[in-house]
Amino acid sequence: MTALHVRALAVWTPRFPSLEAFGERRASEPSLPAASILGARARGRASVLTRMIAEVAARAAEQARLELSRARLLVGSAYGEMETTAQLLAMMGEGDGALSPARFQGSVHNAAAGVLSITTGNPGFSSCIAAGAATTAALLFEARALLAERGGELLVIMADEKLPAFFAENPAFEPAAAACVLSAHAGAALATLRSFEPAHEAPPAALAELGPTPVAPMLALIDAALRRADHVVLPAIAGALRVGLSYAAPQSEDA
Amino acid sequence: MQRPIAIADYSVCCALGRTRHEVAARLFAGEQALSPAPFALPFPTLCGVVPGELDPPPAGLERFDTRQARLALEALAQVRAALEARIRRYGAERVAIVLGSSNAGLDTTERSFARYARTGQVPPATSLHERYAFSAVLELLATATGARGPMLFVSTACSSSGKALASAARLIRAGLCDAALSGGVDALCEMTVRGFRSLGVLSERACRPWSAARDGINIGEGAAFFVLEREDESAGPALALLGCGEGADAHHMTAPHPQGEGAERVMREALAQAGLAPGAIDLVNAHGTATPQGDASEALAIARVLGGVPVVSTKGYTGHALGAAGAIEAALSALSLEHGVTPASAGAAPVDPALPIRVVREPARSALRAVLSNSFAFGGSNVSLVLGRLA
Repeated sequence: MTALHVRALAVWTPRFPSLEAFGERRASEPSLPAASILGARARGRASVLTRMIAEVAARAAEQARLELSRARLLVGSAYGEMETTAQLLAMMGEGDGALSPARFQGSVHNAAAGVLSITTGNPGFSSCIAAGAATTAALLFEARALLAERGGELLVIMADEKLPAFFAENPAFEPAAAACVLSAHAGAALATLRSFEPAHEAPPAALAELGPTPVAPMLALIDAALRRADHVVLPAIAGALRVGLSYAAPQSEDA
Repeated sequence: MQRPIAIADYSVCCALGRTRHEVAARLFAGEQALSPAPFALPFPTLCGVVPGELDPPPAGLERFDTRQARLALEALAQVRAALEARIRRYGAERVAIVLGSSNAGLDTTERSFARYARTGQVPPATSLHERYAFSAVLELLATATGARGPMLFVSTACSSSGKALASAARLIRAGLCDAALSGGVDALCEMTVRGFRSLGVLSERACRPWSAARDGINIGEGAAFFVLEREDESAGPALALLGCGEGADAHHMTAPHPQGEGAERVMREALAQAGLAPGAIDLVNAHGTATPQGDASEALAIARVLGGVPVVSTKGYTGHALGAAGAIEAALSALSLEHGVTPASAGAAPVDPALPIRVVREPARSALRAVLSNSFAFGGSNVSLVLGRLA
């Protein structure tokens, strides 16, 4: 079975806008993601979801010294471009129901991946997946298969924006995005995801600070890596997935 | 070259019919199946609507009832025996479900939203998790079949289910599962019909891929499921998924690269994965949506990669089933391989003389060795599949 070596991590939420702020649970005033990689025009048209994805993609790629113009990209989102979809649903009930073409093309699940590919000139592999609360587990399955097939590195992102008012009967959660660069090679790994087995324990509860975001399992995985935990349990569609982690021994000062 | 993945069984449910037998009969007879939209629109168009009443989910699973779920169950019914045999053979944890969809449960949600917009009250049948989200159909199928392996939806707009088949093949090759239920499902939605109208690419008449008179697409719906497994476990002489190519245009959100560079790359990658020379491809089931720009760029790419190979677009029969199109067209390609029949490219006459490809004008009977099927999408997402037979 393919081990996944973690070469970079990134987190962005409105109140925890960096990996460090998230790791220390150091909250700040809510902000929007800068998403400077998109350029002013694309950023102005982009949804919060697309901006979050661009932000964590750029940060993780920079940390791993991975060129976004060449990176393979795997994006997970439980619900995708919800705010844009809700705007289109509202337009359908107004006047003759004509839709905005810009909104329509921005409503697809792979909108952010498309914008990133176009912005960075990347003609390589990208894919976008969804599996509800099990999306992080699904990302890891797809990542293992991809790295077994193609080797090299993979930029994996999980993001969801807040639910529109139409779905307000569901518990609210904050927007969140998290990314990691996974490699088939062990060099310079922050952590290694070394085993993947059916879990006999329940996944951890959602993070109290963020509400029940579908990104919580990815954040739990990142939290486990930051705290050098030996495993994390992720929800799956059927049951749960226990991911075992290991870490290279720290180099001594005089080595 | 990658190992081929055996197709143990497959199903298709689209405007042409609800079973492989119905679909093959009408496809090879050249019967187009486009009809007026089943909902009120302020403009004319035709759609590819699955005929008849679809059964709701069985008792205990009614909470998942959407048109997408009904289409998925219709496609499942045809391959259920093969899937259950793989679950018995390999164990439930070793059987994956990997599907593609662009719309998820939008068909039901848009009706709920219309009531919400009028009344301010969210209708009681609305459910984010059970009727809107992609995961709803995964939960439905996992419960209905007992499969417990890796489960995911690929959602990359109109390349979704082609990429789902590529993903399932990858999971099997990597040893992460032994078999998979894979394919795609999308139900007709008012939003997508109106959305393509807003982009100026929706035809008011029956679409005419490759024709000099082509003026845009028709939206369709449907589902096609494949039971895939390791080729060394197949009882043979099975059809097989021989290769997949995936990539991006990196050009524009909705317009293809004018020279078809991204399309060319994925076709070449699919051939390389299959270990086949271009001359081994006997038929291309093209993306061929009937937009002036899309057909022109795809034709250039096909001509560069495959020369004068026969090319068909089946969207003139079914409409464009969006996230399900890749799987439906893979199933139609499998029908051509199985029956040794190349369908005519419906609506193509008079073929655009500027297109450098050999469009199939009349159905033809001849043994086929391998078929290449393309799907291209918003965001520049491209996928190409090669189907053939196990050696």
